[in-house]
Amino acid sequence: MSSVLAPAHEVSGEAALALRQVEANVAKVIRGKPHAIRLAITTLLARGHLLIEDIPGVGKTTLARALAASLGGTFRRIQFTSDLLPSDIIGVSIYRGDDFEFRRGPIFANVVLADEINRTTPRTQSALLEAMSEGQVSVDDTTYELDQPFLVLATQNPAEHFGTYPLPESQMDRFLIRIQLGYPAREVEHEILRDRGMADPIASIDPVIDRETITALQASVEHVRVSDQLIGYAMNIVEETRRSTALSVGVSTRGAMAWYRAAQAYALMEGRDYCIPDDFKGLAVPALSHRVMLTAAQDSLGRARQEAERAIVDAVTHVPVPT
Amino acid sequence: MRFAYAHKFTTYLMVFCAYFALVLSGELSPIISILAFLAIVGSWLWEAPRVRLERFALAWTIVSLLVLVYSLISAFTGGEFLLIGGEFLLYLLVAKLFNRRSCKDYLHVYVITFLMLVAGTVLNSEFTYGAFFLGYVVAATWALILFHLRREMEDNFLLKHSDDRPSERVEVTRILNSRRIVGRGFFIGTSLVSLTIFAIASLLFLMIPRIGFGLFFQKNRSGLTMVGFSDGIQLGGHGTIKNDPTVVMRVEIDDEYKGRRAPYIHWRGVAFDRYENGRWLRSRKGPPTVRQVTYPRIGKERHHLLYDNLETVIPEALDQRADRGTRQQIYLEPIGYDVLFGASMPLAFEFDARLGMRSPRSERNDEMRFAHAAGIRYVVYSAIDSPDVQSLRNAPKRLPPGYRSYLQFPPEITDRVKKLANEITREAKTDYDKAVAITSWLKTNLSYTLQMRSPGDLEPIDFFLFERKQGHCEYFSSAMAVMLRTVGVPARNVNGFLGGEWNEYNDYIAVRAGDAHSWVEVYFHGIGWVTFDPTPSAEIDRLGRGSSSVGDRMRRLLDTLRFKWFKWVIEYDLYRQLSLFRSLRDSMSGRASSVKKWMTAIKEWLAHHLETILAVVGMSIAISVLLWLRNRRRSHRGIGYGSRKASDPMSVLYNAVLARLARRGHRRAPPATPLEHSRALTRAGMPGASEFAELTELYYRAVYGTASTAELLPRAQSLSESIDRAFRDTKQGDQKRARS
Repeated sequence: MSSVLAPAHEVSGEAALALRQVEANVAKVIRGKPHAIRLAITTLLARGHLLIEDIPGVGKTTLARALAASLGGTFRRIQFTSDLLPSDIIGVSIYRGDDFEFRRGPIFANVVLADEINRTTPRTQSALLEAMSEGQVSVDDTTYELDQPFLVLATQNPAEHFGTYPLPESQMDRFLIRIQLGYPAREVEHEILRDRGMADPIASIDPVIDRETITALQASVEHVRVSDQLIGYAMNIVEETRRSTALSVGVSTRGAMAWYRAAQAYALMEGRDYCIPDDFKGLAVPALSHRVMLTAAQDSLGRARQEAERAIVDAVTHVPVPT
Repeated sequence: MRFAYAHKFTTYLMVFCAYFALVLSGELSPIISILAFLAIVGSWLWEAPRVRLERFALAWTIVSLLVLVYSLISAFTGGEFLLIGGEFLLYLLVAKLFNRRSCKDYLHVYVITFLMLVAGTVLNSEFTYGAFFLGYVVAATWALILFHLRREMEDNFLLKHSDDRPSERVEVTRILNSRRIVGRGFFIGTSLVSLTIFAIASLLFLMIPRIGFGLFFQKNRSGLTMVGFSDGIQLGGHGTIKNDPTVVMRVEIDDEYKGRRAPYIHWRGVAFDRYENGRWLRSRKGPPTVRQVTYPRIGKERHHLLYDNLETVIPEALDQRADRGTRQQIYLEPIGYDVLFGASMPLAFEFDARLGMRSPRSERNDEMRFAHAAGIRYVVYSAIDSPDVQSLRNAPKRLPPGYRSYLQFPPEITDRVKKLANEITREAKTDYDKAVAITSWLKTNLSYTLQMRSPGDLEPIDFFLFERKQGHCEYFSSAMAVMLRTVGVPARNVNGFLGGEWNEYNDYIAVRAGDAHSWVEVYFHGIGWVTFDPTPSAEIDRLGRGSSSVGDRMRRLLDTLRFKWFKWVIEYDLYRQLSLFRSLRDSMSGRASSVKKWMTAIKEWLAHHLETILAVVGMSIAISVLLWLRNRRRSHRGIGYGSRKASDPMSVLYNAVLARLARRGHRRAPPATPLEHSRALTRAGMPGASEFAELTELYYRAVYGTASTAELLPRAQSLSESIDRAFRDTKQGDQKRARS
């Protein structure tokens, strides 16, 4: 495998192959959701984290486990409850003998599924989010590096309101991409039900890529070429969201940077060493829609997500693609 | 500029225009004006909702009521009606500005400013008014457009952005704070529009040919029926003369007769030479008016009354005589008679030389007649003050030919009338003393009434002098004229108007139908005709001249508005139009010659400095070329948006193909990416879609990737050709199918 310093286009040929294998692996267990899988892998490549907003029972856990299994990495699941404490995530120092010993929490894994993140208190949420953004945790003056690659798949159920602590916009911003899995298509669901008798599908997944390759790929994401023309196009869209009448706060500079990185990662996923307008356009909704604030009138209707996505789509359809 | 701020700003602009248009008249109390100004400025900083609203609004309401009551009281106790109105408007404006919250309050502010502007029309006739009026027009356009937008927004809470989206609520606060609605473009655009409309309207007003206002206004303006004045006098009727305040004519007069002296001017109109059967007539034997025309200025003609002088006078002398007299500019309403009025005694009538004045055949007894259908404007020069008493006493007793008819009296005049006349004038030696004696006798011994009774079989003058001993002006003047004639003094009865009402708002005398009057003129040889009025004067003052009651002042105000309208809009006639165009042409031709002068000067200067100019031009061209090249190079380096468009051959080729496809009906929607476009075309089954898909990929690789254009270009060109071929083949195939 190539080194981190290798030029991006040398990586991409093999990378595409390896990533296709991951994709195919995961697709074996999550059927009918190729786009979601691709976005999840994009998030991984971009060193980001994924927020899945969906009702329970559509395969979130399966997706996370399949991804972890494909990478040959560790997988931990944290079920968020209202009484969960930060130490339940990060770990705790235990006094043993004459010294403290740090017992690592479930965050020390390659793929972490943070289930129903909006069920826990803001304090615990922010502990997780801090670990996500820093890539390390600090307990009692000691800093512990998290394992690499490190991907958090957080889920929240947007349909629930009681006893939840919705993530504020500033924290939503920590997630690179937000997706919905949604129900599978009718035929796919039919198929899933028919094959129900099979053994645990995750068990059939073999690691197809090693962790070093992943980190190398992650490093090569930033070498994916984005032309000035394309940056101009992206900026136009960002500015359009800032002008949008439906949004009170448009995409921030950090949001634009995240989008940029996601587009690079997506291009790499597609086996290209350069970005095309389609990368940006296709990622606009997943990468931007959770980073904007709706105006009060839009927000009050209780369909915040749809409204935000619509606003982003609106902005995209108002910006001409340069040719 | 934020929307709410822009709206507030334009509204205040409007407010200040109206404020200055009103206040710069200098009529309002300076203290109130300054206080109002400070309050208006203060209200800018004051946003009403800072205070508890109910109490705040209630306080303002109470104060408003108090101010209203105060204004009413001061108006009824003799304050200036209009001024109090103006000051009350100022108060209302301030109150509203302190309570502005929503659109409705702004609407009230607009109405108040408009009323202030209207009040300013009457009070302020200075140029400043015009300036602020123009400012108001522009500011009002801005403010009203923004007001309209704001109202639409505040009232309609649902908005539909596009067909595929449901209606959405309008976020009022956000829009009010938006900076994207009102910019420089809005202000410049709308002010240009309003100024253009204003200019075009003014131009149209000036340009539309004036065919004499009779054409447009005859129908409306001929309906004035006269009650007081008549072209003949018939004594012996019965009934009541009405006090009709309808304005018959308006007179602008020289300063010395302004104000309180105005009520004592006799506006002379019709004169009668023959009395018979209780009627005054203008007989065929009556001497015709002798007049001579001079042309003192271009476009003006003066008709001088020569009275008993039958020889032609040198025009200069006549003009000098007229210029020594008192000048009156008279706007006469259509009254149904062709006679023109002038302060007694008129020396000359001056008209705009536009319609070819002809003297009517019926002009007699030094009358001036001119047929006008819809009112007329003319100037009269009069010797208002009587000649001095001594010269009147010394006047020789001689009669010019034809003047014998002024000594006529009918045989039915009773002996006791003649006897009375002789008795009254027994002591008087001269004609003047006789006239004065009879005047004073009539004034002191008889009284005035408007209640008339039929004289029955008696001769009316006899009945008046000996039975009724009461009468109106026609009885007094008839009795005096006849009595003078019986004692051999040439006299005649004259009809016209006495005085009028002084209009303090615009400095003119409004003569009303109820001012109709009748008096006597006595002839003195070498001097002319002198006015004597035997009617008891206290009784004439019946229409309340210049009375300061609210109703009268209100009426005067309305009359001012009518007069202004008449004078400045309706009276703008063909003659004025022609003279305007003439002066315009003169000034234009003057300018043309000066332009020519400039041109030669410039030419000379150019010839002198040719080398320097060439050097400067050459340098600037060189610098711009250098700058352009630098920019080009910079764009080659890839800084700037869309920089590859111009330079990259792949991009050029791709765009050319796109353009050709667009011509064939496969236009790319601007927000669609090339890849999306290509997929859409494939789905649509466009001929050559697969080639286009490959071309799109090449384009992507060349433009966004690192691939070298030179390597990909040959393939791209052949793809482009095969796309064209695919189209041609399909077309031919279609044609073949069509043929077979």
